[in-house]
Amino acid sequence: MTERDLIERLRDLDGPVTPNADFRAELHALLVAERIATSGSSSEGSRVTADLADHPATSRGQRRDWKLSAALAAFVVVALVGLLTWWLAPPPEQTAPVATIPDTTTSSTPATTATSVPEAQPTLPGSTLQQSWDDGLVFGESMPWALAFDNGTCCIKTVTLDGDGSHLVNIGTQGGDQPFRLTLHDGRLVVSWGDIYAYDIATGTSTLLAEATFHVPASDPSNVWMIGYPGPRISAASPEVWQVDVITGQATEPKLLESEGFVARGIPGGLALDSDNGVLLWDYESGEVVDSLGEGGSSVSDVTEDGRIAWCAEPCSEMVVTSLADGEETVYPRREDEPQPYGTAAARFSDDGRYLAAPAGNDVMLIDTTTGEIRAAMTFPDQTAPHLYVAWAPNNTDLFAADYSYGAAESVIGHYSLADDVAEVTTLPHGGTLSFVVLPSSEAGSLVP
Amino acid sequence: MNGDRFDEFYDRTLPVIFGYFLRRCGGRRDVAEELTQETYLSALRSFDRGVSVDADGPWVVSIARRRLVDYYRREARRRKRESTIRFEDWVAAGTGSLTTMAEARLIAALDRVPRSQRLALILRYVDGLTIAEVADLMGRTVSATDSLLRRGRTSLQEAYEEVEID
Repeated sequence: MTERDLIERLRDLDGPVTPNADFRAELHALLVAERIATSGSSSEGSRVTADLADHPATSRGQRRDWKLSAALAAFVVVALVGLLTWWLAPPPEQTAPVATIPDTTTSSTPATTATSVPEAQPTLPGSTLQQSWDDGLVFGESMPWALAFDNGTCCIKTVTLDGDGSHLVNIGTQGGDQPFRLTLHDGRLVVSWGDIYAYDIATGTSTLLAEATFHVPASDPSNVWMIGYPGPRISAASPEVWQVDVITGQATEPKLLESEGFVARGIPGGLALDSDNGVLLWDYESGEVVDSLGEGGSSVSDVTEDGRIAWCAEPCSEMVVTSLADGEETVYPRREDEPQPYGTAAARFSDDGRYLAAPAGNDVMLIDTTTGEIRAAMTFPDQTAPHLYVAWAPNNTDLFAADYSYGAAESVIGHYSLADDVAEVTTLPHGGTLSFVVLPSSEAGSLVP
Repeated sequence: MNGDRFDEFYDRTLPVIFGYFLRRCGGRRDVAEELTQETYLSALRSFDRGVSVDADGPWVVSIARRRLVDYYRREARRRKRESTIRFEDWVAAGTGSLTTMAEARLIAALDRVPRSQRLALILRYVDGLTIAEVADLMGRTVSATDSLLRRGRTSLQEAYEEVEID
């Protein structure tokens, strides 16, 4: 069979399969129990139980089992709720008001016109704390930082490192189960996948920045680049790109980006693109690719405010830092005894641009771009890699890393102190950590209700 | 979403979602059931949070796709697991169109392809995503994904010649 024939067969590889009755019954019972548990009311439990009696997939015997399970679950929930209500009168305030990003279907005009400022979006009522955990001290000592994670679905998960616990906070959701892209700019979180919003952490209000597909940070930390593909998803078509000031909402004119490659980061005056032919440097004014770095498949990690770009050519056995101002290039290889390549997409400069932290296998490597020293700052347990993310605290001294724990029961996070040369890696008893940012816990505001 | 609507949604979409996972996870019934369960719990919680969707079919498939990517990432942690398929198990997993030897052979061959290549092939050709979309879901660059797909096609062809169905 030829490769082409196999691909054609793959394209046809779909169609419904009805699972067997045991699994259907088990799953439906689970969903009923979940519904009862989350509703916390006897009427809801009764209604869903009644629904089940007529469920077409249910045999008579299974119906009886489901009704019994559901009734028992409802009884337990109602009893617990009643007991707690009696025990804790008046009920404690559980949540703080946090804004929810408006539904995309009701959002108003995007900020895609030069010098325009988007209208403030209404703050939706209702508290949106999803869950809290009493973690105590996460690391050996109290730290004045909060880590805000994109949890991949509805919410932001905030882990405070001063013993105040962890919180899952809904700061806005889009239809579906899509991940956010999360960046921090002057006290505002910019979140995207679909439309792009700026969330003011202090006030808990959201502003629609643009209707675009995703965003990447600009070299100016108060700006982001919007990348808007025709239609709702990334596609082979050329996207329009424009820059938006996160604070004021002012935007430049959209320009068509007609080039191979995929937008990775903002650089002074334009964008850096991953491509099969090196890193491409695209200039906004001319609308052209004006330079390139390297050859072959190459990708961008991060860019400093002063215009130094960290990138690598596949398979990323060495990291390169190039000054876009004068072209000076410095190569940082992996040690020969550590064959795992750099995880280029997750590498991050410290805010002052001196250090570059780059995951590589189970390690987080620390590159001092002033002295050229390369060392392993943290080592994670086996099998945590290759999905590690890193983020710097604003003091340029505390470095954090976390594994990819989307959908997992636990997450592994690590801290390295440059000041003390001490690392600690620990496991939190709850998962749902993806890329993250670090901010002072005193400024975490609505992220820590 | 009230109980009646969720039941209707559940009945209508369950065979689609179960079939989606069964074909993409080497015909392993236990895995398909686990991922189907995760998908519907996630969907239910989204509905309970008040998420409103216009087209619930594509929406729940998008949830399933993320669960699939997550499963492949978890698989990386667990290292390699047994990679064989028995046709009888396949047929016993459910009822529907998934009953031909040719299809079982293709799934078995796909299951022998290295994990990341397999996921890329599934997302690109079975799910019909663009290379850029596959790259984003897998957390890779577009060029790396393209290269992965090239290697995956070669691996699949080799595996297809080798595979035998019990």
